[in-house]
Amino acid sequence: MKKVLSVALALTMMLLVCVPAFAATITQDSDKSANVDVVTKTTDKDGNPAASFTVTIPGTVEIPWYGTTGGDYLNWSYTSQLEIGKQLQISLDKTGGALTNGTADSLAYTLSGDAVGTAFETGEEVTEGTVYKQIEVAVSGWDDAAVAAYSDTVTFTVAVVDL
Amino acid sequence: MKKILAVALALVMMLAVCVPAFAFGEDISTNGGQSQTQLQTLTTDEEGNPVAGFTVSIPAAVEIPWGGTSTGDFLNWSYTSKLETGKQLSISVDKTSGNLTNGTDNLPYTLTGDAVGTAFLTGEEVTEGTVSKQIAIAVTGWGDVPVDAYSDTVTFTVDVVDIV
Amino acid sequence: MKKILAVALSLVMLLAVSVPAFAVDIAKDGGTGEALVKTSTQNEDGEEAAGFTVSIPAENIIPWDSTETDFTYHITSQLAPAKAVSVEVKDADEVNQMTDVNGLTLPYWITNATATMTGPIVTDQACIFTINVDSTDGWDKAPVSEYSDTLLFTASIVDA
Repeated sequence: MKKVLSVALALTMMLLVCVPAFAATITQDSDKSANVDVVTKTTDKDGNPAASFTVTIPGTVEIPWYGTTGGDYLNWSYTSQLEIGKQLQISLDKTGGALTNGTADSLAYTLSGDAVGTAFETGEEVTEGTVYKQIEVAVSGWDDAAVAAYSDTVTFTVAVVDL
Repeated sequence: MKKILAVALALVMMLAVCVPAFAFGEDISTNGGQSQTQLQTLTTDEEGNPVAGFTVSIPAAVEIPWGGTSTGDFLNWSYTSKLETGKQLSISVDKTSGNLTNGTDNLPYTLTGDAVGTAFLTGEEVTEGTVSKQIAIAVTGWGDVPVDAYSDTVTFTVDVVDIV
Repeated sequence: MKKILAVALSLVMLLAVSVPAFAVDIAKDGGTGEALVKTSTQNEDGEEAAGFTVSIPAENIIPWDSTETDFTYHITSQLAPAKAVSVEVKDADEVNQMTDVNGLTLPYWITNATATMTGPIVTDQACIFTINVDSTDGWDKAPVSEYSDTLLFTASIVDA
């Protein structure tokens, strides 16, 4: 009997505690207006952080032998919707290098453009749509190398930093 | 129970190890995230034409003055190559000697130089510009035959072979 | 004393068939190309190689009373195929009379006046012609003196 009562009491106390926490109450006896704050969250309805970005880079950049007359480019892009005071910082791991084919032969190349050498900072929290960027790839020594597929890897790194 | 737990633990460990490989061209959407692009040359030019090739140039005709040239008579030929890795040219002529003929009489001759007797191997995929070669032609018996135009044909054959 | 007369070769100069020196390019794996090796009929100085030489003695002495006197000249030639040198000997003024300083005459005639080679290549081939003087109408009627005449040698290229 004692156990049943104590459980019932606990339940009743719990129900009493579970009173909705109203910000303000207007009754017939109180002021007829009250202020209520409406606040957005930085998470969505599922609790996931809303701030996001996407930096899109190509899997492969194919360069025809002797290069393209108008130039060869690594085209990349980004969008961002970041928290206030934040921006993207994008950098590459090299300014140039050697394309190789697994033998002693190689083709030297240089990169030029935003994010090459110095990290590129977007300068804004929110982009207007997708921002497109280009890095020029200049390969040399075509005449000195045996014909084969030469390749190298370029690594992009993205960080969210303060404006 | 213990076996079930052990299997479950093994599965969990396997899943933990199976971190997705760092693939090329993946979007970066996490702070500090990285992705890679591969730069790759093609073996065709921007019009899509294969780049690998070679040219061996031989004269259509070699004219030898009667009695020969005092400094020697030569068949001048040349080659350039831009081949795939591990390939070279093999160049040979079809004879080491023969007879120049006018249909009636003959003038014997011998050839000496690269590609005569033994095939000439270029030894490299890519030449620095054009490589010039000479085959010496020695004609004898000038005084034994009527003065006329005597001729013979020398055939060059070119193959692409492996560099050994 | 021999005077060597090198008779200029009067060949009809064939228009040089100047084969353009185009190159043959081989650009295919397993490809072949042909180069024609040929001789020119000119030497390295651009002179026609075909030619001949007729070597004739400057003087030909006929002993008094000799009714037949042989004289020898030599031919060397290297000509185009199926060609040969032919030499004709005759009196330069075609009178067939030797004369002395006083205008006295001694008639004669030539036999074996023409020699034609059998082929384009001969080396120092000896050719004989004969000066004939009749004993009765020639020697017996001529006052003793030195009679002479000029002979004309004409060389030509003929078909062998």
